[in-house]
Amino acid sequence: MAYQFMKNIKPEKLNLDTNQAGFSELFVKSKDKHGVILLEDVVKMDLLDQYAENVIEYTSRFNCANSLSYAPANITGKYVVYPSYGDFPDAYFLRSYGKWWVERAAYQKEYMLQDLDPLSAEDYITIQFEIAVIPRDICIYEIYNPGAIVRIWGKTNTGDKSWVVLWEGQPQICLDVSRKFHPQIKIINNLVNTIRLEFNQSHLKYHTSIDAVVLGGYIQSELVNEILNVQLKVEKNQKPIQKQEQINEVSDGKVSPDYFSDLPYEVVIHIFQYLDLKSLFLCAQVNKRWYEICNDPALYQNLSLKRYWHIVNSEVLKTFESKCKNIKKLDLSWCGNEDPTFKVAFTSFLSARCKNLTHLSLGNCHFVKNEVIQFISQCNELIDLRLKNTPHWRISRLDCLNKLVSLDLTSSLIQDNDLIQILKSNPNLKHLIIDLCEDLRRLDHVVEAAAQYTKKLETWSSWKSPSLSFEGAKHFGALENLTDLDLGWCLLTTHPIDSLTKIAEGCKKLKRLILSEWRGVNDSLLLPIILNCSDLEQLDLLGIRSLSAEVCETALVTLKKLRLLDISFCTRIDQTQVELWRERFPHINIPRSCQFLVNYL
Amino acid sequence: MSKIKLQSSDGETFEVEIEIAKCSVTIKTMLEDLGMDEDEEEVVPLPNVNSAILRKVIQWATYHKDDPPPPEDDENKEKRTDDISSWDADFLKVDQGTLFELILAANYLDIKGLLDVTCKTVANMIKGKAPEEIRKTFNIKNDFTASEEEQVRKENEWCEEK
Repeated sequence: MAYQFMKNIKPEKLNLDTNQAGFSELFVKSKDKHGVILLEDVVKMDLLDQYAENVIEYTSRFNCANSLSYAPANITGKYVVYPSYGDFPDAYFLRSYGKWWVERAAYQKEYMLQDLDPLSAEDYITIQFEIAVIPRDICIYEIYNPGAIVRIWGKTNTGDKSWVVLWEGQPQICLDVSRKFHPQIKIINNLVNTIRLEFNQSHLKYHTSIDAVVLGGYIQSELVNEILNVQLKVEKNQKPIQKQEQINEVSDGKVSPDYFSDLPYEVVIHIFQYLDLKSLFLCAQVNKRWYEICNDPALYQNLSLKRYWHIVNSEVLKTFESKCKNIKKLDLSWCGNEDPTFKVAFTSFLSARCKNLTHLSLGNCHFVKNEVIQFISQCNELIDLRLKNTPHWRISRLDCLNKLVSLDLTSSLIQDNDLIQILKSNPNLKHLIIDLCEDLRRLDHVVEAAAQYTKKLETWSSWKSPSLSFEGAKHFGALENLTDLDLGWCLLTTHPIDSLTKIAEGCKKLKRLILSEWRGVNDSLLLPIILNCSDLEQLDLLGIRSLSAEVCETALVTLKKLRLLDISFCTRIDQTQVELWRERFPHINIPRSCQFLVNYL
Repeated sequence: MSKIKLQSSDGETFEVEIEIAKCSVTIKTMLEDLGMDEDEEEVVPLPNVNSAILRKVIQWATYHKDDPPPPEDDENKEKRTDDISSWDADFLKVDQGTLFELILAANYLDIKGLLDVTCKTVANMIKGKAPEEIRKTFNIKNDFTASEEEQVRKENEWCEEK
């Protein structure tokens, strides 16, 4: 077979257990377990290991879209850092770690506590490989704080419900060394060229980073195609057999009472409100009364379809439209990205059901375009709107809303004037997240508007929205209710001058302050913050190179509530000093990026 | 501590501390409405609860008498079902008839904590089961016609495993 081995395809086999003998041994076992006929037992096929070629989409990135450092695209191609361990810009870096993000005031609380993802996946990245294979082997090169991968999906070419979980497991506590994560994946006989990794970083001390991903499996050939077709037919014919089993089950003589029929309607509702959606939809098939109760709008006031992203399409959304007559909270994050008709279904849903909607979350929903924003702007009752990673709309209109308390526009194309209009019409705004908004060119004006119109602001997060100057930063001093202030990588063009003094004097309630890469800050400019903001729990000073060990020590000693002090790339501070602090202040997490180079042959 | 008497549907009387009895909103309201506070001779009739169930309810209420009052706010109501305390879990290791009678009693007596924990227990018995398994577990008759059943199955199949 003459395949062009492109740059991403590693010519040699993975040196783990991918040799033929080890493989077939593994499969004999799994065949017993799953009862799957293995194609490789039937027909001789060629094994191929390949590195990722493309990134399709992702939820988390550490840098601006055009930056190559830490970028999602760094997950493609052959590993470049492994087996070295540490913080390397050549690999993919996820932004959040630990509980810091979950615990912040602006964090979106889950809408359906009865239907949580048991593995609490927080982020994902979807990657594509050049050649579709029947997957047998996935290997992930984790080079910094490994252990966050909780699920691996493969996208098969089987039409509806094409995503299959190839592996899932709890987050792992790992040593501080790079590793090849090489889980035993589910045996399927479908071709896969797209996989998705889901992460739960909540247990990590610091950022996790991935260098490369290998997908190993068997290459398609005409013969394989034929077998796949036969197999599909067999699968289809097998289905009715299960049904007969059910019909044959007859209860054994003694008639036990149906206690459920004695329960009043509202008590059954009370029981059903504890059920996850999947259970609820199975209950609807029990009998007529259960069907009726399962369709009661009282059960669908808060709806989150995020964990069902792989099966939610426009048809499913329509099914919910009739049930959601009184919906208040709707989370469709991660949904609808593979269904071109989803946008229409969503706008129809929204125009019918926006009356009482207070919370709407559409993270990573690519169907959020200008028309959709138009519909959202008519949901007058909205107090919480999350549009993280929706970079396909530009015409705002969101200033039609006037009850907003929380607004997340991370990685959107929002522009200064539109944002200022939103601030003007939403005096109750408490939480504003505008991370990675590169179209905000004059952040100073936005801060000024916030200081004027949104006096209740508690959270301002404009991480990596880089157009702030010291003049703009001074205005934060007028927002006395601020508890969370994330200005990482915001002040790149000017010296901070006295802006930190203004913040220190005005924002006495600060709990979380992120000043990453504020390069002009020195000890005396930082000191007012340490002396005035005694509630500080998290202080991120990454990349402030002129800071001395003395001022950090002052922070560690003075700030009694401090739990996180990030001093990565604070190059004047000696590593042995950091180790001493870690011993002396064991209750404070003092992360510091490091690089352990390993020479490999 | 002042006490009152509760009478079950089958005529048995139970003497209970007033504070414990008042975890039932129904009894609390009854006492307030009738002004039956300190008069110990009065007996509160509970025609919907038999003695076996009332004994269980009192046992539960006595154990939980120092619990903080449940939050009124419906919006933030706890929806998890994996948070049943081990005492409650042991307490509810009973046959299905008793469990459902406890639900009815908690509903009638308006004891939110008991209603929540019993309903959660039943929800856990339902979770993840196929329709036929649910019918078997609770002896429910399938009253769908074949074509209705097919229709309902189609409507609800989106989240089924492939």
